Amino acid sequence: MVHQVSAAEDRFRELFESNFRPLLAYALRRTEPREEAADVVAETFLVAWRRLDDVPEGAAARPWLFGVARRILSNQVRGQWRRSRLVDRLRGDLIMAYPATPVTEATVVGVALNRLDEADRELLRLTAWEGLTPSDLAVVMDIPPGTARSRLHRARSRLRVELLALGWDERLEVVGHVGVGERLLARDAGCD
Amino acid sequence: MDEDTLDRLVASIWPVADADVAHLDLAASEADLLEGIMSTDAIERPPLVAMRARLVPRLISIAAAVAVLVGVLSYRSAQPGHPAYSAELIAVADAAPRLLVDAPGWSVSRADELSGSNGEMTFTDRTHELELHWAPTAASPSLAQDRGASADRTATVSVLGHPGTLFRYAGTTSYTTIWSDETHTLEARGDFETEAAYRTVLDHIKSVDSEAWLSAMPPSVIKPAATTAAVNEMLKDVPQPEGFHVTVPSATVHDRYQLGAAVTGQVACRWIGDWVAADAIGDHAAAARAADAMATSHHWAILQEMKRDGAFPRVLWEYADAMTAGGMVMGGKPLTVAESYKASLGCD
Repeated sequence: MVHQVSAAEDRFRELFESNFRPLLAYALRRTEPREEAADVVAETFLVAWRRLDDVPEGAAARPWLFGVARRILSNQVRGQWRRSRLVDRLRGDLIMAYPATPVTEATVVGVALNRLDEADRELLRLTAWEGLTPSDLAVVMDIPPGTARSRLHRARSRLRVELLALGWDERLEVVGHVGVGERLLARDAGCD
Repeated sequence: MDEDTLDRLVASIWPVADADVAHLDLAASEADLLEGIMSTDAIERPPLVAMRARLVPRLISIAAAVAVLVGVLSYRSAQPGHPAYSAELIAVADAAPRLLVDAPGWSVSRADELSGSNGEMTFTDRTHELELHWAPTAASPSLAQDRGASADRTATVSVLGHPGTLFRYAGTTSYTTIWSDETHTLEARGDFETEAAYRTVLDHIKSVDSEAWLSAMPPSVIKPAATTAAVNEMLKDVPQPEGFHVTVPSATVHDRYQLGAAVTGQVACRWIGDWVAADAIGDHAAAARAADAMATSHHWAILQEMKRDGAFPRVLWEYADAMTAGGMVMGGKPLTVAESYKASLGCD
């Protein structure tokens, strides 16, 4: 029994240390205010600790963790970690790191992305932000790999449609940083 | 616009860069969190409320076939002081393990979602609680393996003559014992000052006959005459489809949580069914009517009351929200409302 516990501890420690920052980054990109990411990270690792036998070995562990975090974010479920001093400390660190989170500038890309449904949006974000492969997406989204590929393809197509509907011009060299109001004003003024 | 370009566009708007996160000075809080998590019970021990959330929809869906004990504790007084339980109820009791803690001061404080094959009861002496769960025997190996993974002590014990395994959760005074009889796997869990104190209570678990077992149920779950009034009270702020009438569970008196789930579940199932049907034929007005009705569920008093005790309201609200937000339920595996609502809410 002692050996089992020790082996579990070693494995969890390695899992935590290998994935803490990527998971925190994943959560930070999806929470507002940013310090909420502390709860998501804590709850995700708590699930992993309690279900260590279910966590895949090797590189597959990260998408599994993202999948858990995604469900936590989706459910808006918060456990008792919010009241934990441990998370308070991490939250405090994040507040220090992001003292005044500015409202994200509305961009054409952002607006187009927001017009997609959440599943499509997340597939695109997981690919572009977290660098996941379609096989990884399947783990995160709990869908077959073939379905992940086809949905990703569909999501890209829908994004393309929304971008074009918003007047997106591929000739612009600086992508994604043009305020949508500015962009649409420019189009209306015939500046395209 | 090729796929790489699209991915690059999405990447260009990420709100927090990996490099920024990598450079955050979080070493201390990171270490604290790691140690904090590892100092917790490594086993998934869902609180009772979570178990209720899982069990209630299932039980509602098979309510017609399964006599939920709490719901069928309606007895007919054949003779004053000698309740004659319904045949349905006796059948449930006969199939259940029928265990009590037979020690001074101990009584049943709670009995939920009991059927012959599954159930949970809580016994208390007002200082300690012993939770008793049972399930079909097939659950035994995985349950024992699960408990063993986080125990720092195990011991072989005998419960009512059946060999069992006692586990102490690592670093705690929380004990649990798993054993099996001919048809069930049982677990008795509680926090006690010492293992000896826990074992003493285990030793007082006693098997009784159906009448003794039913008679031991707390009075709060025996409300045979109040069901209709309770249902009407629960529905006072719940909009119902035109011409729809809630079916009051027959011969039942659930505890309020179960009754509330049965009642609101019926209404929700009907509204969602209407919404799915309307959506399929493009009847936007009908779909909106159903979605609007379900949107009010966040304010239904009974759900607000029930949310303290279990997750049924949250599940229902997920569907209400999904009806106005694309029809996808995002809790866990993303599912469409249409494909999942019956199983999730126990719709027939």
